[in-house]
Amino acid sequence: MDTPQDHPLSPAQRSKIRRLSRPREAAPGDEAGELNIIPYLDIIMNIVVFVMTSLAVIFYSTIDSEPPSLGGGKPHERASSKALNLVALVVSDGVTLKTAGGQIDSGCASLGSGITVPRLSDGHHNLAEITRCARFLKSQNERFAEETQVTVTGNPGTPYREIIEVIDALRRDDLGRCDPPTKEDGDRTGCLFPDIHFGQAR
Amino acid sequence: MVRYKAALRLAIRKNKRETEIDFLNITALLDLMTIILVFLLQSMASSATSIAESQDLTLPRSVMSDEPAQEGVRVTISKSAILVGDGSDPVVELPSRESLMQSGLDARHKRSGQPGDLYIVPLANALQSVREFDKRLRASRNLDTSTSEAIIVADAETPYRLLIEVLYTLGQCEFGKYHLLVRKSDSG
Repeated sequence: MDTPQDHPLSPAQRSKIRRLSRPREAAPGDEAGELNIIPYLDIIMNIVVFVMTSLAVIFYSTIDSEPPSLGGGKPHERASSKALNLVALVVSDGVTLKTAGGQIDSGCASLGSGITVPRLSDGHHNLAEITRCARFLKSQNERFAEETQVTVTGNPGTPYREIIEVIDALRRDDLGRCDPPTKEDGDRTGCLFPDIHFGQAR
Repeated sequence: MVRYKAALRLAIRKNKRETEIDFLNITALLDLMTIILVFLLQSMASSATSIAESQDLTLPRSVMSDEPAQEGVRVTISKSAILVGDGSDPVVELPSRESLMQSGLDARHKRSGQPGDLYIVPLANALQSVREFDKRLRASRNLDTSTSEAIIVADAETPYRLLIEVLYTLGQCEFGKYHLLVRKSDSG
């Protein structure tokens, strides 16, 4: 009986076997022949990271207020005739604080006509002293403790930046913060004068 | 023929590669990334606090930590112009800071024609149309239509006089609440 070894394959048959047994190349559209989207993915990833970084780096906040009052910074709502009615006037020499009782003198200890908190020698406002003085004035009477509003007025040329600095000084507490105290904060009082109004001297 | 078929089967079996995962199907990931990207870009574009700071507009820093208000018409006071909304056309072009420090905006822009007046006519004209639109929008949302809100984006060096003129004009145009946009001092 003849075995396969008895009849070797012809060259044509061997060639055909090689051709037919060769692994088929994947055509576009086959699973293995997908478009190479890795560069696209890289770009997308970079953009996502860039956008997320941009969002994370800069944080903004807003200070709420209402239309300015005319006439030397008269407070919007007088809680009562015995209220503190604090007014801060930002001038070229410093910050003058006024209350219903009158203008506060330099040093914040008594009434007087001086600049309540003069500028520092480097030209900046003495923000820590403004905070200290505002807290001192608020603590002078129990009725003042509930008072939250302050009117801020500036000289015509006062930069907006300085107005915001003074507003911050009038709002913040010992820790330089102005957010409502939580249980973990202990004795922290929160904002001094969170309600800001703008005034304009006639 | 039998021998040929046997040899072919053997060769095919021999050359057949094991099915292996030589690629990752990242289509789902790509879809996700694209959706996140579109979402982020949309958020940035619609956010009232997406401010492009430049030499012409640098926001002051503040210790404030609250989230910025999103509600309101944006009024931008840069070093060179006042703009309303997202438009790039200035409502008023500003003179030098030295000039603004004395008596605010030029008298020809004021209602009474006097430099002491606080009412800026071109700004008021722009605000009135915005106010009408905002009033209709608020009515459709069942919100209080008696007043609108504004987000003030002012340069840190803006003279107080000009700031007050803008705030006063806003008040006259029934904008009863302002949100002064500042940069958190710990934001780098």
